Parts: sequence; C-alpha cells; structure tokens
Amino acid sequence: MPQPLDSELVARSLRGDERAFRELIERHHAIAYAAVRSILGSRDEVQDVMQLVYLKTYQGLAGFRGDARFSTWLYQIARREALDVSSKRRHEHADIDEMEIAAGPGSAPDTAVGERGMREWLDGALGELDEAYRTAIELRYMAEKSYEEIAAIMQLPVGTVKTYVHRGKIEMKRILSRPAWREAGR
Amino acid sequence: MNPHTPENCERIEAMLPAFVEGGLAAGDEALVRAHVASCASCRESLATFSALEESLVSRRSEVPPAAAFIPALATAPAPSRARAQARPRLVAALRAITSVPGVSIILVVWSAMFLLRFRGTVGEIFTWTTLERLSAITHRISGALVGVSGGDPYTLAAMYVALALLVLGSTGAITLRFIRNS
Repeated sequence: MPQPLDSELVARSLRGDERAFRELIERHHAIAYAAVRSILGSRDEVQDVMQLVYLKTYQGLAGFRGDARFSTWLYQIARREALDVSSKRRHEHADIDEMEIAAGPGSAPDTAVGERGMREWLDGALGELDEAYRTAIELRYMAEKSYEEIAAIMQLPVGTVKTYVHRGKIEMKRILSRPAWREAGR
Repeated sequence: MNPHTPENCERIEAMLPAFVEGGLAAGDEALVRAHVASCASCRESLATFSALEESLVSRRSEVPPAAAFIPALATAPAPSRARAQARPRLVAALRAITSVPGVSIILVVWSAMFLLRFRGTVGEIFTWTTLERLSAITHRISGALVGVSGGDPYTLAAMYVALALLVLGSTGAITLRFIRNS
C-alpha cells in the first residue's frame, strides 16, 4: 500500500486523527531531533524541548499552509524552540555555558577527557563547530538525509550544504587531532 | 613538479571528505588516489576522515523513538482551521490599511470630508500658529464628524469608535511593519 502524503496526514490530523499525527511525526522525527541536538548538544533539556516541539507542531498544524515541505516547517519549529532554550540558559548560567560550549576537550584535563566515550568524543568535537556546519552534519548523519533534502530543509543551495558538511569534517579532523582528543579516542 | 607541496596537500585534503563519501567526479577521484598513493601525510589524513565517517554514520542509532517525545494530545488544545485562518485575514486587513494605496485612500477620504465641511475656511488655517492650527483642526474634525453623523448620537459614537480603531490599527500596523523591515 502506498504511503500517504504528508499533506494527507496533516489533513487527517486536523480532523482529530491522532494516529495520523503520530505517523507524520515518526516520519520526520529524525530531522527535528537532529535540529535540536545541533543546537543543544546532548544536554538534559533535549527531552523537554522535543516534547515542546511536537506540542507546538500539533497546536500550530492548522497554520501549515503547505507552501513549504512539512519537514522544513518542522525543522524551523525545532530550531526556534532549541534556540529559545539555549538563549534562556545562556542568560541564566552564562559562566557554566561558556565552560561547556567553548572549552571542549582541547583545554580540559586529560583525566576528564579519558573518561569520555566515543559518543561524547564526537559530541564534543561537533560542539566546537559553527552552528551551520553542525546542523548540516547532524541532518546528514543523524537524520540520514541526502544533500538535496538538507538543502530543502535548511533552505540553502545544495552546493552550500555540501561545503558546510565537508568544511565541518575538516574542522572536526583538526579538533580531533589535538593531543587530548587523540588520547580520548584510543 | 613536486606533487607534495603544502599547497597541493591542502588542496587534496579539502577533497578528502567528498572522496570518502564517494562524491567526487572521476577526474578528481583519480587525482586524489594518485596523490594519496605517494603521500604518507595525506594517507594518514584519509584514514582519519574514513574513521570519522564511520563514527558519524553510527550517529543514526542515537535517535530515540519519536513516541518518547509525543505528548498526550488528548489534553492539548486541538488545532483549528478557523483560528488559523482568522489571523491571516486580520494580517491581510492591516497590510491593506498600511499599503500605499490604503494610506492614499484614507488621506483622500479625510481630505474630501474636510473640504466638503469647510469649503470656505480652509485658507484661514494657513495663517494661524501651529498650536492654533492643531487645535482648530481637531475641533473641526470633531465638527465634521458631528456634521456627517447628522446629529445622531449613536452614529456619532460609532464614527468615533471607527476613527479610533482606524488610527490605532494603522499606527500599530505601520509600527510593526517598520520594526520588521528594520
């Protein structure tokens, strides 16, 4: 049986079909999750923000007019909510945030770095990238999207997205070449 | 020509991410293969990019199921077509009021009302001081409203409300438009 189009699922959701809404979200969940993670990293707030994103998506569904892809619309909601939380948190805990975001393992003590697993190792390196590079990489790998799909979601030319991903990887290689990272990666 | 100059290696390194993804054109791919075969430093870079690619590919498994995040929608306010459509209509009305033709129509209507009511005395206004002029204009606008309403208090009240809404709406919309454009 062919899969229903996003627009059909939106219409059914608007008629109160909760299963249609869940199917719609499951279809694009990885995009929203990658967008939130690219801004908040692996912080505790991700869970709360994701719930808020889907609640706002549901409540604002009637405002989705279909002139953009649903995935683009969902990405924008996810990004806006994550940026909002990130900005609030920055104001509340400026000092702590500075340490978490800016320092990275390059300047962290070796003992602390040694306890990091591969996942945190990558998260830390991604956290040091420009937000645009990080988002493009997360959409490419975490959400498994093609360059064309990422371009549509981020509303950028395909060439720009490729440049972001490739430059991001070059930057990650540079970050991971630091002695502290090399220790942690072993 | 020495193919292992820092510039050459830098150029090759810039192509390695696309090479690892299999996204290079045939000519560039052959160039990278030839260079890497004879350059130990770039071979090491290629190994790092390959390991990085492998680690990044595994990130897909970090995405938890969507069900964990979808809230209980039974308690959430339902989306409403009517509510969503009401807003664009209001926005469209405000946009129409603040557009160039909208503002022009408002000015023409007001000028026409003013001239019809005070045909003979318009010239006097230009000889007064600013304060007198403002006071007189305000007075005469209210006089014009009384005149147009024909003395009926309900019509007059409705006209005052309409005028207040027009002024507040236009001012608010113009301010919003200004903020959005700046």
